[in-house]
Amino acid sequence: MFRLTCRVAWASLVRRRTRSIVVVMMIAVSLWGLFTMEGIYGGMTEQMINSAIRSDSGHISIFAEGYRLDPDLSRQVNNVAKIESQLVHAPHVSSYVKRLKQDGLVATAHYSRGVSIIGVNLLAEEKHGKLQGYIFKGEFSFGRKDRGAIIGFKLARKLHVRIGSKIILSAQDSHGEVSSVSLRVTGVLKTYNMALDENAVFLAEKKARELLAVEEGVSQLAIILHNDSQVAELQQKLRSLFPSLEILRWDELYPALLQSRVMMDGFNLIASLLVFCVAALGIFGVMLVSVLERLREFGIMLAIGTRFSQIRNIVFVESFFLGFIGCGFGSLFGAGTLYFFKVKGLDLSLFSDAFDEFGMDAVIYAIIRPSYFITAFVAVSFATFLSVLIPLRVLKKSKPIEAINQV
Amino acid sequence: MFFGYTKSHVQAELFCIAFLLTFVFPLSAFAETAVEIINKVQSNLNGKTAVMNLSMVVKGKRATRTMKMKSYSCGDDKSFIQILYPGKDRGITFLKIDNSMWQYVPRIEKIIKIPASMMLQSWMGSDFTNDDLVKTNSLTDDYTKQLLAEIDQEYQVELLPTEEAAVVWGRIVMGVSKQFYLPTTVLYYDEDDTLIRKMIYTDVQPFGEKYYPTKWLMLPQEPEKIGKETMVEISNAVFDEDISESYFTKRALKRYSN
Amino acid sequence: MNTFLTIKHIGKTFQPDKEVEVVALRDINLDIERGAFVVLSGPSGSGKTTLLNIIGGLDDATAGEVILDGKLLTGLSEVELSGIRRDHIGFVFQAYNLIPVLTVKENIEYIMKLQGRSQQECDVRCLEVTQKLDIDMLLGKLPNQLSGGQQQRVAVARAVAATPKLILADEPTANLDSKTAESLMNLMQRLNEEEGVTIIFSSHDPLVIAKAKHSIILKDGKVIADERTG
Repeated sequence: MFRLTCRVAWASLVRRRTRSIVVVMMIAVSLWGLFTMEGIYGGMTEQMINSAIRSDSGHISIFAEGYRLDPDLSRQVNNVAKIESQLVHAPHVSSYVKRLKQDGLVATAHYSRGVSIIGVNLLAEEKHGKLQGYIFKGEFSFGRKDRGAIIGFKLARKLHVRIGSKIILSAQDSHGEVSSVSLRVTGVLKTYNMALDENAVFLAEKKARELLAVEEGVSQLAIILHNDSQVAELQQKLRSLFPSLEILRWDELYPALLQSRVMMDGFNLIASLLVFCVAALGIFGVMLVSVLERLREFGIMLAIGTRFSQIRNIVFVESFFLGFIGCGFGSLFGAGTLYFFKVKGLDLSLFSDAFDEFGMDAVIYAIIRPSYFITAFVAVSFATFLSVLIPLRVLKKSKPIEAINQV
Repeated sequence: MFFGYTKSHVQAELFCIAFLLTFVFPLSAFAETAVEIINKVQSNLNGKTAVMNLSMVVKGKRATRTMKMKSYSCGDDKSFIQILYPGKDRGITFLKIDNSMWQYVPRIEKIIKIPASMMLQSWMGSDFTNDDLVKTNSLTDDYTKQLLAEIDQEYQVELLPTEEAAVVWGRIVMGVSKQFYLPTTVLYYDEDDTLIRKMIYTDVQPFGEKYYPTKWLMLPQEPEKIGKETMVEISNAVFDEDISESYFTKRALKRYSN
Repeated sequence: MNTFLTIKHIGKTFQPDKEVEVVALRDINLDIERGAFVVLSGPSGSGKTTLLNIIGGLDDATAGEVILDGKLLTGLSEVELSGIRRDHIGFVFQAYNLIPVLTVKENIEYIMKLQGRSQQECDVRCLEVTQKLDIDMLLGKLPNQLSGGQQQRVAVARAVAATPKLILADEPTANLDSKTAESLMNLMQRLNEEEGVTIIFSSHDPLVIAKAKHSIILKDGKVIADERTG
């Protein structure tokens, strides 16, 4: 009986080929659009978060107590070796780096700006967050004698410096004295992390220690884990081991980033709802007309012994066919498009100036999440079900049997 | 030594000496190195101690301000400045020791240590920065010197910062008067050899045994700053007399505020 | 008595409007034997179609009873009536009998599939019936590819294939030319004789009336003649 229902339903759709194709295409195209938007918007958000994690906070950052409110050199993390031994043996931890930070001043003959001086070990940063991937100009190196500096691209622009330009870095050292050092710009970074791009001057850790007169101790430890689901667990563990330190997750350090993820989810929901409406209206329109056209046909079927529930099933199956085929094509196109952009990236460099302002990369790599397709499938299923209820009511009320007699 | 020489030998010798005196010995002035020249300039400018009354006129694009102050300095690493005029700034004091600088603001009754971030801000609204006041001795340590030329009564010395020197200039060209070993015109260039700043020292006056330029004119050369100038005039100076060490302490900031 | 179908005091009133009442049938009483070949005739508007609908369970009578093969039809639920139509009654309408999206074979098998018969059974019965009706070469075609006469024959084949006890045919020859009509009627007669199916026609085609063995004439919703001729 089910086979017969499907046969009649399918044959009815094929008979009205153009109409069926139009609805299927409507659903497919709106789904394709939905997936593309979701994947790209999602990609943008994840890129920003990733960027912050790689270049700055890691999944977890460790600071000395009170450092965030008062980032002074006196607030250093001191028992570094002990922390390191924990991290080296922790299975979740993929990598970690140590950084020495201080606010200071950079000056050229023309301009001066307040900056964040960050002493780093380039080799460690390379393994940790692949910071070298963000090099925009120049090299990922401090030169032969560690006399080089790598600065954010916005900072470079404001100072009007090039690779090889001299910059004078001044800061208050651990004794409170103002200390200066002359460095040459060896590299320029574009991290899409606005704080770094506008303010950061990276220099060799050794040089930073000289400048700031800090022999041991670090301002920050940034940790990256293999799997971000284990972040909370590690944070708990570290907090229990080192209760005097501030141990924070990336979303606690940058709640705005988490907000953008939440916003993205909300946006996806709204977009899915829109697609749902499109699908529902499309199917509703087509099915209503199709049912009303076939009143006599249904009447005869009822007369020869078909139960109304069987007629109802035929109508349901028709609408589900429309929905599922539309969903199928939409998912296919969508997945294909997203895969393409995942691999090649969507190049919006035409708008790169606007993107730079927001601290975002103009080449966006899409992400693909099964949830996109599952949510869409559920939405379309609901849409097909709901959209056919009214036509069925109309059918029942029209008394198909009476339709037979209308010659 | 001169026994046995005839008159003609003596004449020849006299001629040689005259020749040497006229042409060769002045050339030995080149043997005086750029380093020596600059060292003399530094010691002339700073002296062992100095107490000066200064006025500073800052010409901006729209307004002109005048300030009067008194300064006490010991060598080139310690100095103390009192602002005397105008009334709203009267009582502000500055203390510089080595590379650190403190300021006392009577209105808020607070002594602030000038942090690195404020070092490049203008000092009292002039075209000088805090850093300029602090780094008066850097010429000696931070630069290699080379004599470029001798023009009329002036030496032209080029100063190039050493690799390690924490100075923003790419090059400084100083004109030094032969007569007084004081600077006449100093040109400050950035790394790309663009002229950023011009300092002109004029009106050299005697003060006791010392000669000193009493008018210092600072002319910024950057296009957006053309038209501005700061002129410092020294009205009174006493050099190399004993100054109480008490001026060069933090307590002095408040004590000598008024 | 071999009464197969009993119609007792059947009355039907329509109310197309709140004010207007139309009496389509008035106190109809009829007895029909098993294997009868009956025609209901009369001028249009006399209630033939209405009566046929009531007998077939497609419409409810306002009054009276219909008893088919000992079972009371009037008053049954929609679902029950549907089952009876499926298993015991075959319909042939004036036009548009066939499900347009299904092939001839699928159309003919349709009721049998509803009855739950196996594919094998359906194949056999279909072949049997189509050979009798001379349409076995049309099995793969769609209804819109057939002529009017062919369509009607397929409708008859469908009606008969499901082995109903009763076939109701409403003006089956109305849209056919005389030759085709003659041919169809002969077929139906043969079926009636060979399969023993009771057939009730409603028609004002004299050809049909001539073939019938039991003739009932309606006028203004009442039986004015009820004759058995064979």
